[in-house]
Amino acid sequence: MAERDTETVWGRRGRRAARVLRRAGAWLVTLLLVLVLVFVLLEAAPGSAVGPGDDPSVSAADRARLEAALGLDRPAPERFARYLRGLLRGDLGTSLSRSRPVAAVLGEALGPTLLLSGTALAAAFALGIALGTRAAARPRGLAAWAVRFGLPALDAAPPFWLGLVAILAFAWKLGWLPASHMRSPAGSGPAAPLDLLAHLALPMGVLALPSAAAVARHQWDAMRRALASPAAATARALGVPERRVIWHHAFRAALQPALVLLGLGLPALVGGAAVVEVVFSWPGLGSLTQRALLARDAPLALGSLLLYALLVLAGGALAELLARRADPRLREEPPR
Amino acid sequence: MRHTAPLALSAAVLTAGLLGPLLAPADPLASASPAALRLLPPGSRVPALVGSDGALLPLDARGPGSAWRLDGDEIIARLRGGAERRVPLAALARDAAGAPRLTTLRFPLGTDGFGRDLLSRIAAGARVSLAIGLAGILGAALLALAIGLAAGLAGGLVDALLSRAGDAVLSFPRIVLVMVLAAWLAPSAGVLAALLALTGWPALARLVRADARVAARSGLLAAARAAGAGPLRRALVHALPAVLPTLIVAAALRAGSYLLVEASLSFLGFGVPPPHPSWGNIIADGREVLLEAWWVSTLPGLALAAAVLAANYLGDRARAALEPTVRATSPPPR
Repeated sequence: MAERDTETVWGRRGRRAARVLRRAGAWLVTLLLVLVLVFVLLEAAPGSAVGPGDDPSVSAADRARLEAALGLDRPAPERFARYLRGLLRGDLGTSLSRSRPVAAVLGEALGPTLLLSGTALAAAFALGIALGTRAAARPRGLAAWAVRFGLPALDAAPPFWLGLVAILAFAWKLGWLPASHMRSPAGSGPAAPLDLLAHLALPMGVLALPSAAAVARHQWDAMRRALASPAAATARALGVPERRVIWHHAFRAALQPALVLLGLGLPALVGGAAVVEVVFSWPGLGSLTQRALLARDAPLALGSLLLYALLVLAGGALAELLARRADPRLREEPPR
Repeated sequence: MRHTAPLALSAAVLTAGLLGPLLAPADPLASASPAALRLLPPGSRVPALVGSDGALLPLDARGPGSAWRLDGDEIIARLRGGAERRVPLAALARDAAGAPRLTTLRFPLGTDGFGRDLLSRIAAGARVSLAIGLAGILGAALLALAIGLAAGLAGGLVDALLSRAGDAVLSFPRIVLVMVLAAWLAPSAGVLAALLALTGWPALARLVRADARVAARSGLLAAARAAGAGPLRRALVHALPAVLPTLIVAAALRAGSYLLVEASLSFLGFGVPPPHPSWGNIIADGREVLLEAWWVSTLPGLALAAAVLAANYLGDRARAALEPTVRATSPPPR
């Protein structure tokens, strides 16, 4: 008996390990595919990090010397192979536009991006779930109006435009909040955390409000279904107060779709953050990628793409973990 | 019945967008001095003298007295921007009585930083933005159809390869991937539509593949095979009807997000190159004058939001019509 139990445990662990390995393998293959694709595109495109080929202010000799120094004179396959070898050692190369290791530049940008996306994600879910639940409980209230019309309208507007409107209204006309960047020039000392929060407020809000639309809508749907379910009816029949039916009985049952949504919506949120970062001059990955592209800085662009893929992967894994935790059924029969 | 009005409205918004340039007033300022007409607020009217060659001389109607007076056979005109200019009467268009003809330039939505009529720009941009978005979603749907059917019906190695390729695309935030690709491709409207299609198909192909797999296991396809139908015939005649409704609904629900990606791309500097207007690059242009002229960025953004809402609404109705078992709810996350 005991032996069979151990076996099941091992079997389950083995299956889980196999699944993780299979996923990791598939992911590595896809990543390699994308790296090759981007590298080929960089090759095929006109111009280079050294500047346009017909720039008269740069002599041919200087150009050749510069290209040799940057390693751009080697054939493309050789450079790609070298890039991959470096990647295996954790070396992402040197940024052409900043003359610094790509890993260091990315490291500086990762923190601000995580701060912005993380707080926006948390805010979007808190707001979406609160509004969705409230809207189901009170179909004619303000929350219901927000879920049905207000948030979808914000979600239909382009994120960068919302950013501009927010800057115009809250930073310039009303003067409540700073319009850009992450800190004030004099933003150190005891007031630094407050300074950071003030700078965070606008980009975070612009990112969170549209993302809350889908969450709120699903939560609203799920709550209405949960409140109409036999379980809720039974609870009411047993004399459980409505408030408790809503928050205790229906809420837990309704939370599941929102958590699945977390994983699905993450790439969009991270992408939206990239655009919002540019609007607010937020020193994150999005701003970095945009400037790397404008400067034709291939190592930096490749590195940030890689980091974005890692973020999406990590986010997806985290969402799956949360969903499994919230719903015991998922633990029994893992979806492929 | 209760959906008729919003349905008609949504369709009207999108149609008006596509027909935009035909409905909007022609940009009257091709030959006028644009610097004098920079950043006029919405609703501005500017009197102007008309040259005999059709050129326009915008006058400064503010301040005391008339903006122009006769002096011999010349006209002394107070132009917008402050300068006074003497213009020979012969160089002006005149009415039957011989008096110089005056016209009024109307700018219902104001002008941009180059003195261009914003309404005309938004109308012209509508066609560019909507055409790119529509071509993008159509291309993505067709790719998804071909790839999803192939993967779902063939199975095995073909399925694995195609699914991996789709996952590769899906493992990046879409806007970042499109941005990287567009940065190296010297974007034009066609290239942008192609990029939207190339980054958009995996999400749709997953749905097609799932439906095709169900169809492949059904007796219908086995019967078709037994009756001698080849793989192409099985895919196009027998499997296609099974996967089409889901695909149409999913594509319709995503169309709005394609418009947003296109606009964001323009804003980041990798979209339709100026001077061609798209909603995205009009908004981006307005960023530089945001403090002096709120309307340049704000109004095209409203047009874009209206178009996206209309597209989302039509997608919702398509879902209600084609998938009666599923109640119409929100669009899927992008």
